[in-house]
Amino acid sequence: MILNDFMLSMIILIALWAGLAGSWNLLSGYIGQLSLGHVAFMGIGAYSSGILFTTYNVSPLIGMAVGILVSVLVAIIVGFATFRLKGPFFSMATIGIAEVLRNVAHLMKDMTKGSIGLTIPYKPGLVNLVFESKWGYIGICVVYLIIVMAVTYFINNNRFGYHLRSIAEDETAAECLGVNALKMKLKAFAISAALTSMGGTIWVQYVMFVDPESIFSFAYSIEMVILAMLGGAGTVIGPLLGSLLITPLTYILQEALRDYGSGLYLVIYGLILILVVLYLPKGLVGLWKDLRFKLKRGSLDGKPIEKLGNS
Amino acid sequence: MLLQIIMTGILLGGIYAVISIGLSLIFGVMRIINFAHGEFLMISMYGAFWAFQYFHLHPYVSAVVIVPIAFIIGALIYKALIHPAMKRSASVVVLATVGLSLVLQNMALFLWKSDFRTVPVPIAGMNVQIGSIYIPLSSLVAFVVASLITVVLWMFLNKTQIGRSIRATTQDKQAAQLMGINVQKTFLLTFGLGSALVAVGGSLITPIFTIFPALGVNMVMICFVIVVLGGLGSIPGAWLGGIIIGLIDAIAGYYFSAEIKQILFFVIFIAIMIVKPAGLLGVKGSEEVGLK
Repeated sequence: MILNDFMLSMIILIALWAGLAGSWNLLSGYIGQLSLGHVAFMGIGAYSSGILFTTYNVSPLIGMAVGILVSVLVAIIVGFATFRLKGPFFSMATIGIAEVLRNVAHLMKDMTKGSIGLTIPYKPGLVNLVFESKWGYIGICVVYLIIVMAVTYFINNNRFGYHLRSIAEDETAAECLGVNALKMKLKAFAISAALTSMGGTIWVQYVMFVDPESIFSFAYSIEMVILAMLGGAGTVIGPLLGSLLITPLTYILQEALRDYGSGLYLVIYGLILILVVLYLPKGLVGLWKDLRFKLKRGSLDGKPIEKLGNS
Repeated sequence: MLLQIIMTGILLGGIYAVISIGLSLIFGVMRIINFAHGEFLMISMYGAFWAFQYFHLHPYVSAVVIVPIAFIIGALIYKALIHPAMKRSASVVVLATVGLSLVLQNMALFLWKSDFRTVPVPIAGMNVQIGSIYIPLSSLVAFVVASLITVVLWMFLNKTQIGRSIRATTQDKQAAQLMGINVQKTFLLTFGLGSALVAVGGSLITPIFTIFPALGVNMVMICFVIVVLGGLGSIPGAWLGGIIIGLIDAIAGYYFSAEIKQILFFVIFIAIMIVKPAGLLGVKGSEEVGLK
């Protein structure tokens, strides 16, 4: 198989988006607190490293760390304000935070160059996270994906993960059993925001450009949601599965529908989202588990275990 | 000058109120947030636009047709999407309506392009002058209708038999069902009514605002702030919240840039969550009840 340029960039995008969706999954997949504005943290990561690198020539690795700190701070503030409430408040707030940051990026013109956008200078090197060949980016993105999946795997099989799932199942019951739900949710949100921010830094170093309208776009937030939901929310492998399917599909759709208008692929995104949540709520991983269960037992009686949190 | 700004703010508040009441009603009864609310508004405004374009109907006149259609479409969407989603979980409702919003917004973009459209009816330029204050007539109409709807809806919910059954459903779904109330029918009615109210708002603001596919996104954020501020589910709360946000909008818009205004809205949103999550007129605990 010849790995041409196109396939290499596809691998980069699949790994990067799987990582981003995996970061979303840590919060929303495991606890069911649906974030619809995760681009906020992607944008913080992108701008933190982007501004430091272009203006002060600071390594994006340090910028990444700064982005993570800022993201964690924002996550804790927003989480503290909204996690005490049940229902869709958190989702509403997350859309809001992405909108606010977009406006902030426009306002801080001297640092972000406003709507003109920041262009990352081409200075190849590992310290600069800029590479001559696509293979360098593949390396970085795969490492990023491995970090996200390792963190998820660790949490998945750990006391903390059990706590998160118990909150998703029934928050009141979990609290009665001594789980500090607010603290656990904040922890999960902070980890999720930090990982998303990392992805944002890698994204800007790969695309080499960032402007408020593109980085804070609702479509990116939804892309994370769809990848994780289709693959299987609340699972380790789900986001990667979703990315393997959706990321190439996004590219193909954008190319195929180019002549009909830029937003048409989002109609299909919306339809996929509706169909997945209604008919495949456990995602492909859940489907596979059901099928295996059916093959073993010969029937599929038990009640659906799907419960993506209802708090 | 300040008086003029305050007047503008109050009238703008009436407009905001009229587009938020439907959202608040649906949340109040069904405990769900329709994330496609802004797109419902956008589509009803396009309806008013095309009615004007092809039949030269004034938006206030075409409302007679568009509002009932909106009710039917709302009821159909409830049947096809909201009801199956509600049977699963609250998260599924959120994501299903987000999916719907993506579909509607981008279909509009595809069908009608991103051109800005206006409906140039004479009322848009008319003013009433009181002393040194100018009052745009279209805004005044929107304000009056918003206030009327608030009163009528409040009476409907509190004084009529259907209203009582709706409130009973809000308080306890199972108990209401046991009392012989058809919960499914109540929800269908509520979602249809909420959608019809959005269309009323759309008709009223069509002479004032430009129409484009992404307008719902801008509007829905304001609606969220309003209903949370007023108290989710409270109809008078949506009215009051609308007026307050309208005032802040006019004052902040005069002194600061549009970006700062947006940030201010969000700060208010977060502040209410921390200080008074039930909102100004919401019943204490209403933010937690019945979301299972």
